[in-house]
Amino acid sequence: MNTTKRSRTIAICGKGGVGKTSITALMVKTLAKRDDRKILAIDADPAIGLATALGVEVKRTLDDIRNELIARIKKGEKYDKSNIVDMLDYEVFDALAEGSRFALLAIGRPETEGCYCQINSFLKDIIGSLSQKFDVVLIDGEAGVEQINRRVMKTVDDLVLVSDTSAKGINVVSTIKHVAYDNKAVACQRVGLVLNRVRSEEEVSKILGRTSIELLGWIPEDDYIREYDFDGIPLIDLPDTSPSNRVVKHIMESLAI
Amino acid sequence: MGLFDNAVKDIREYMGEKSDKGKVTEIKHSGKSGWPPGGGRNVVLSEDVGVELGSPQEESVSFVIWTGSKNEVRDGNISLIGPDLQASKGKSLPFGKVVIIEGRGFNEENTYARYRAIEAIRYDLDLKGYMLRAVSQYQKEWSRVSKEALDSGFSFNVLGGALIDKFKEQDYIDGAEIIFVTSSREDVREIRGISKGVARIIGAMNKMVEEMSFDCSTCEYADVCSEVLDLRKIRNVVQRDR
Repeated sequence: MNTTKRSRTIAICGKGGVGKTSITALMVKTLAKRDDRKILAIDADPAIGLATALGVEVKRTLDDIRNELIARIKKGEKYDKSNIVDMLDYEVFDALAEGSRFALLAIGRPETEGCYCQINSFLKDIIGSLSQKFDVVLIDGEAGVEQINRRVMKTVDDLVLVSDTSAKGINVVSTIKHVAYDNKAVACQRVGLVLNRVRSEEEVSKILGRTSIELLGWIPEDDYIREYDFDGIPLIDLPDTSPSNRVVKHIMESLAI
Repeated sequence: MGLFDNAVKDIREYMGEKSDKGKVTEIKHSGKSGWPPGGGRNVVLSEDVGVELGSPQEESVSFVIWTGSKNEVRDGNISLIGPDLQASKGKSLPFGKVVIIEGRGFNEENTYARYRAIEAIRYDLDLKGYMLRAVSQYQKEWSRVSKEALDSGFSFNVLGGALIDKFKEQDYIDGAEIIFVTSSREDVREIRGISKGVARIIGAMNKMVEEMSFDCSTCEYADVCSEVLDLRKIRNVVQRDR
């Protein structure tokens, strides 16, 4: 492993309910099984579904840490800038839920600007420096386009847009691509589309006629995912033979991750 | 009275008592440690942890003090109270770390800036398989050593030696010694007792620099300022420069 390499950051975005979290979990699984690279998964969805999919328990979110610190400051505890940075770094690492070759950071409720926006700024820096200590960072984005302007999404290497075959899903990824990539709201090298729950190749062809986003891969309806979701089994335990797993592996290879 | 004269004296008493009980192992660091760097990617995830020191669930204390007196510092000395890392594979240990520095030319003009620089030194340590998280304000330090590093021989000699080398890269530091405590929560708590006085002095220095008020009648650090002459000198310089 070349330890001097820069971290690779991949953000997974799209409309709610299209399977972003499942795909992120399978990406984590693929990487964690493949080699000795260390992976940081960031769950930027307030619902914290990625933890369940990865089979780990989140005890504290970034929002909890921020609120606890603000409460201590309001009580009269005094911190200088370097102490706050130290403390947040320590607390954020303590908040990581760790699995096999990966760690998960849950963002929780998105920040609100206000009197304590400097703390948000420190947290942004800390996430940045923490990310650099991992080889690959995978961000499971909040549904929709709002998050594009938030702290974990300023710079990514790959923006993976996920949609089902619905027109709404495709409209959302087209909007995200326009805001993030074309309008440069996010600095990213590559944007690609993953179609999920596809029933036939014909559906794929039709959708590709309506969007200019590069297709990274398409995932058929997968009974394994349905069963695992139904039984509450973490998707990280999904067998390698499942169709979703095979496609996600292929996508990771095509992204050269 | 020097900033940390009391703390140095208390540490010596603590060490004397532990030594009388046969609990102290001494290692002499000679030259560069030669441990490979981690390339800035020193994340040790729980699955790879060989030994964990001072985790948030454990007792932990860490601080650095300095003195101008050569006689007070046993340069290059690494003292260990408790098991070394090789004997602790798979364990999570309580952790105490005290660094005593022999510093030259500390005065009221430069002490605060040097304190900041000294505090930052531990973050410059880049040792493969060694991960550190620390909160200066609470004097807590949490670290992990990977299984791979342990298998390659990582020990307190390696860690202490690398730290001593780092401190001595500063041109105003002539000597450094380190005390590690892993024996028990009680032994670490005793160090915590000593650290409180150090924290008060650091807190007073921070307050002088960070805050505009110099009203001693309302200041929570008035007692340490009265006791420690060097602290009053720093205060006078900060007040003059405002």
